[in-house]
Amino acid sequence: MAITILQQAPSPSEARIRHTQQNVTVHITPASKAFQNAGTLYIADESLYFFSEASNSGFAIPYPSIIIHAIARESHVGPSIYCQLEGSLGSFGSAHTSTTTTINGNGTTGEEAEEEDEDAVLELSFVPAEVSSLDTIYENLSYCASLHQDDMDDEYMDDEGDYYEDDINDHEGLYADADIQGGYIPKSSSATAIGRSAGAQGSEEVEQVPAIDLQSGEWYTGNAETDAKFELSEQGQEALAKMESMLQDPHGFIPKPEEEEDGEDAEEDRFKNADD
Amino acid sequence: MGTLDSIRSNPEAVLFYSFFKTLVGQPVTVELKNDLAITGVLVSVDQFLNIKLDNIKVVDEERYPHMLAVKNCFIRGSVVRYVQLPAPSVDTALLQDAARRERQQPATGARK
Repeated sequence: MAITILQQAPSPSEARIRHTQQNVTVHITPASKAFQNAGTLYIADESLYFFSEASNSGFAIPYPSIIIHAIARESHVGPSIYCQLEGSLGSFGSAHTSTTTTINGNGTTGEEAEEEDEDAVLELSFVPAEVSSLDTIYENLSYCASLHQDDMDDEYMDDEGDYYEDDINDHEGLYADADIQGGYIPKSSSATAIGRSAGAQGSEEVEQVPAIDLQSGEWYTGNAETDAKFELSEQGQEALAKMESMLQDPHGFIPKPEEEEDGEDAEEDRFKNADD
Repeated sequence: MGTLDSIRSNPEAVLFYSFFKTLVGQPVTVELKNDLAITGVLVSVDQFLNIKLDNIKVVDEERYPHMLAVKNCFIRGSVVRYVQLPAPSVDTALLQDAARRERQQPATGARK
């Protein structure tokens, strides 16, 4: 990702600017002589722009370069927006404003052979004259940053080989009953599935399908599975105990404990579905 | 390729998004790919696994003096190497289970 030097301020026709903040000074670490004059910070969907009329120069930072941003309320430069940029981007100091130069992430500009400390991180602090603007700047920055995501496929490691085949349990029958998309699995169907499986496999426990409902609340719920390979947590053991007792009563003739909650509090109700 | 496609082709992202949501409010330590490590309370996580932390403390704070004054921060998901969690918050058996099942039958329709 490259930082681009600007010769003019971004215009609304070329950038979707969410917030503009005037009278901002920027402090660069490692220290740089460039951009010492105050300028205007533009938070746009495409990039973060800074441009100073006084020095007639500025820069554009692509959001994927910003690995952390934050509000620093009392730093030694004053209340500011802190941005840490990825990699060692060389130095701003060698930027020549008469030309548009691109500074690469891993190399020098090719103009000055500034020493690159490989451990150095590029840090920017934007100090607005108007301190009350910090929250707004931060929120807009966060919003725009979230618009730019790297292609996750690049980083996704295909580790299919690491998954062991659970070939003992046939889950097909289970899944036929379960509604993976929707939410919680109706207890009757899970009981049926368990009853069915129990018949097929003797005392072997079966698992309920976890519900990952992304539409409302996105709570992760799941149930513990008895499996010699796993050590069950306390909750898991509770769930196991309940399932075991359920095996003895697959049709629910024994009255169940109350089970009203709908899982709005996933943390506590994680195993609510286990009882049946 | 749209964002949702990325998520669908990476079923673990969906799972971990849901998982991290259960950790909101807990202290975590996020280690970035550039070796920076930050401890803080997990405020929120989004579908890209961008992380917001509160009350942060940088592990090697002398190296980042500018961050001494930072209380809350937004960390880009793609630069995270590890997220260290409080052990009692994680049921690894469950997580392994869910990850395996998620692969077999990924949740679809991640509409938000």
